[in-house]
Amino acid sequence: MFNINFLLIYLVVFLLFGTVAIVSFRFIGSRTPKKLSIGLMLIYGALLLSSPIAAGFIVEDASEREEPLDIPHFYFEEVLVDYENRSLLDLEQDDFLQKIHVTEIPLDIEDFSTDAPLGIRSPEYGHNFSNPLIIEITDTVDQVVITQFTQRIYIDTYNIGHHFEPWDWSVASNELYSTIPTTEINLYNFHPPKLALHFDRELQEKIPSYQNIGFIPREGAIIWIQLPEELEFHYRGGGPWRIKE
Amino acid sequence: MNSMIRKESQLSIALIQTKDKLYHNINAFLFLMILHLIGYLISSSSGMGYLTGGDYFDMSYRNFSVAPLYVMTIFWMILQGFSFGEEKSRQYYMVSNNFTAYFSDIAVLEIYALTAGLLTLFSGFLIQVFGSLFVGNFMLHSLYASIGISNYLTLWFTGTLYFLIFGTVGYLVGILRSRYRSRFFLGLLLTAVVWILGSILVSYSIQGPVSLDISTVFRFYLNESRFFIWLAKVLLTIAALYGLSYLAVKNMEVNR
Repeated sequence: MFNINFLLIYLVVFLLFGTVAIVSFRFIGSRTPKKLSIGLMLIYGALLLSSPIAAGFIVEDASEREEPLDIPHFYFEEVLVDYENRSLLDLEQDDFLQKIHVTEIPLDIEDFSTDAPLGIRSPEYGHNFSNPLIIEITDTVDQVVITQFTQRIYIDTYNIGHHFEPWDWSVASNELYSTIPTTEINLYNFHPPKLALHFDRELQEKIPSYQNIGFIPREGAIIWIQLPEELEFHYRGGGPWRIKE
Repeated sequence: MNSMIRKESQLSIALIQTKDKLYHNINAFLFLMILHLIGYLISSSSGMGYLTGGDYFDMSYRNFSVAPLYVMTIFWMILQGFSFGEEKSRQYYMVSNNFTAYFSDIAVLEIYALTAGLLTLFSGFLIQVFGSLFVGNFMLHSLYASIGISNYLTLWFTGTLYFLIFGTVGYLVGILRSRYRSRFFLGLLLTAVVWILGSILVSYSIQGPVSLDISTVFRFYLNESRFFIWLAKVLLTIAALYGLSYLAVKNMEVNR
């Protein structure tokens, strides 16, 4: 069914636009040459008729999008709490998570000693308890490797995880720190007209009249930092220690 | 009278008048295009939005549809019907009687409704194409995955008939106005009073979700998901509106 309130708002808008349109039409319309009218109409008609063909090539097919998985809202927290039983490979193979970015930071390990270790600072990020860092000390790497994951987040069936900006890591004055760039996502959703589903009540009810996009874990990040064994470091961040040895 | 001389049937005169009216009023389509342009502007800028944000997160989600285009087209149909009804008293045809004038009017209105139905059907694709080309992160709702040819046919068919209803309502009002002049406004006032009193009475006497407001009227058609019952409702409505306007036009002087 049409949203009646919506309709009323538009009717009010028409009273404004419509009056202008009628006045200008009564004034201009009667004087517009008929051939011009027909010509413009033909152009508009051709544009409209060719649009389904163009849409076939340009518009992304909604049926080709992956089926959204049923992911618990705070899945990333579960992973963070359970870090001791997880490995980087587990996270990479986890369907509920997606890898956003890998940063490799080459370091001269000899620059850091027990007296002057590498400081690792977690940035001010939400609340301290949501500090998303997991530090793994391993012999498989000879430099600092930082892998960022995020929980998959769907709006309708669209995965917005691709749009998350990865954290920006760097080393300065013996400290490894990061800045968090702002993630900006502007989505435009086009939904089918209700009249197209006039005789299909079930589908019709799925059309949103007001979109509630549900839960968005803004802080759904997991950051896995791999450090070489020989590297001396000192963790200076807030929040829980998550160090795998 | 000419028909008697040249033995032209009324129907062929009516068809000629239909053609002539279409050509004479061809600028109406220009008007529709202007209204559609406004509709495109509204539908691309006023999507119902959802905004959320945080320290490092900014998100907006807008929902848009072709609804403004439909409303614009309905507005156009009402105006066209109304101006046809109004023109009844100043028919410029030398050869005309009530039947031919009436027949050609409803034929033109039906052609308008068909055209409007087609235009609005395709306008959805046009928005999709422009959205994909010029708007970042434009996506189709997942419901599009389950929409097929039959749904587009439904969209066109229902759209056309709804437009026709609005056009016929406009036509009836226009006819009644030009027929009854001052009494028309009296009648309008009376109808409003009867309607309001009726809805008060109904709401007092029947305890239930029945009321006589506009949305009930809309629901009567839009909530009907059984095809044939819906078709019967719509066709009977159109027939009743045509019948009423024919009764009003029947004894009317055409060439004043």
